[in-house]
Amino acid sequence: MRSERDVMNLLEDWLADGAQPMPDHILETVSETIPQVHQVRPRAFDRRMPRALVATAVAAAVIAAIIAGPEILLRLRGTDRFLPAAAPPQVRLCDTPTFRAPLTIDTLQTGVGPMHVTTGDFNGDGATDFVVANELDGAGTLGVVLGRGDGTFGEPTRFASGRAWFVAAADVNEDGSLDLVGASPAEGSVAVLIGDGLGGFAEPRYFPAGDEPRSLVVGRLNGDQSLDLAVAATGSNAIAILYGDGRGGFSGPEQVATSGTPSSVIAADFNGDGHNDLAIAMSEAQDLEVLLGDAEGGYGVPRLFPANFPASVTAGDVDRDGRIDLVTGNPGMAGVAVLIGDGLGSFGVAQFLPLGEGHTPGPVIVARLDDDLVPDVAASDFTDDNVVLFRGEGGGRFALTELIKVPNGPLGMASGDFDGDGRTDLVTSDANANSATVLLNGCGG
Amino acid sequence: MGAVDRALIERARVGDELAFTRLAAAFGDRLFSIAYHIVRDVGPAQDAAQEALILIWQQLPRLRDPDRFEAWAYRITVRVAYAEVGGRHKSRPKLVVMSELRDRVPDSASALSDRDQLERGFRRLSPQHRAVVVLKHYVGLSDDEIAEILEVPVGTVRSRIFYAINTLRAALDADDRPGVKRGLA
Repeated sequence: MRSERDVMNLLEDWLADGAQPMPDHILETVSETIPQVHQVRPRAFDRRMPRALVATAVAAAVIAAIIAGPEILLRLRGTDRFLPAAAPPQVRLCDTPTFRAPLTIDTLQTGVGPMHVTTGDFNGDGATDFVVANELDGAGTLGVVLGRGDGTFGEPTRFASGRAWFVAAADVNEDGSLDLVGASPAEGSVAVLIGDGLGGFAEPRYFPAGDEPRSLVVGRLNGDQSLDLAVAATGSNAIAILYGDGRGGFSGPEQVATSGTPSSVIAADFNGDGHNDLAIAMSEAQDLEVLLGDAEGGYGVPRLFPANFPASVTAGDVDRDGRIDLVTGNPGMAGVAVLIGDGLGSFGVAQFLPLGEGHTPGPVIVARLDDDLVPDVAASDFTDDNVVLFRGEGGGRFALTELIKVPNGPLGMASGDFDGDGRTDLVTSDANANSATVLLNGCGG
Repeated sequence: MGAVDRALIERARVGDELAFTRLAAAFGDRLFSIAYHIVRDVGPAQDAAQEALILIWQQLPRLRDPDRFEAWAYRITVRVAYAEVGGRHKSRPKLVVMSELRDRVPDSASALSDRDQLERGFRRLSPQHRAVVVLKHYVGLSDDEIAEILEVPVGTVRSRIFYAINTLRAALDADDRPGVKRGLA
């Protein structure tokens, strides 16, 4: 049997050898075509353009098309194929997040009360799947829904998990397949379900995780290479750290006291020292708490950053300066807060994005939802049943662009490419409707 | 990433067609190879490269950070290649075969067999797996960079690579099994 390294070496040689110079006729066609393809200017420019000028430009373009005719063809040298000279590209790009009509999947089959959802490729087929945490489904289940890669899904399968409120996917036993970790506040434990790489999961193993664990993050938190867990133990005002053994087992928990009641935790390297740090949202506290981690799994003095009562937190480089920033969902204040990181473990004054009364944004996601590479933000709005989209405008600034109606009670939200078009799609777990709703990023198509 | 001339990008962004043509000449080979490795068919790969270049030209003014040009261009190319694999041009006959395009140095029988098996194994991979493999093992990007380009979690990138390498290893090992004649499998 060949080693992984041997296969990679062969593969790299084969790929390099198979690399082809781009045929000259493509460059010639492109250079002849681009004068007829108008560049799309940023929207800010469009907005400043007077309507009369826009109308004149549109009319001129229409007249020009009529005169020139749509049948101008450029022959591709060396082939018998033809390409319309100014043919609009078939793959469109969007400068604002645009989603198709929600596709609701009846998760009564997967369980009752899906509280949370996460995504991953559970059967190794390259298509994105998702799993919902069904806290109230009998003794509690995780409902796995395998994607087909085209935006459709197979029948859900439920796996016993205890009363999981939250679910994460990671390869905790390092066998190359995703495993599931559910946090059960009712039972004070996490359930670890080892994946078989084919979409199936073994019976759960339970590990104590403090009092009322409601959220968790998987990451390397001490000096070894195994994945560990940081669990928001709501009832004990602490983060419970469980250290992984790389085989799917966990020891601990070690409790790290927090300054309030933790509701959500995220791990990332905020200060660039190569070690994961933690950011903790506490819905009943004004501040976001940051714990800077060291090489051995220890944490420094908590740092507090005003964030308007955050209940959930996620991390991402929203201003693309190479430093991790934080985005929080603030249901009590009906908005979302963005805290720009300085790369040294501190965060700037929160930029608050209000949604208005009647909205309760919960989980937030940072992802590029349009095609401009500037990260955008999506939040699920639990009481008004929306997915809320904020378009990134660069420099860490955001503009509210759309509220998409979804079924009752979207308490969880996750992202992934469900239809294989390269765009980030969204899925919500609709706790009150017993469903999951998939929003395919359609770019208006 | 970052080898493409920033001045050319800046000029192309404001509509300089000559600058864009030079830009396309500078990185077109790489885009074409990425497209080819994902679709594994020359004709559709040519279409994908051409369409990707026109899209890049069309949308370039919206690229706020020229330093992100390559990642952005790779992303567009991968997306167009996905669309090609998705059957947009399935009815189109193959016009060119790879062997006509490239003069190869003669390989040994075992190397030829390995290439055959790699080709077969690679064709078994989904376009999503191929994209990750190509961006990592041909372009040389890190897992984090690939995750950003493909808009998937880093864990997904790693699991796809793991799956792909094992698929290719299985294809290669199948040829090594006793009773399987080298070069004829």
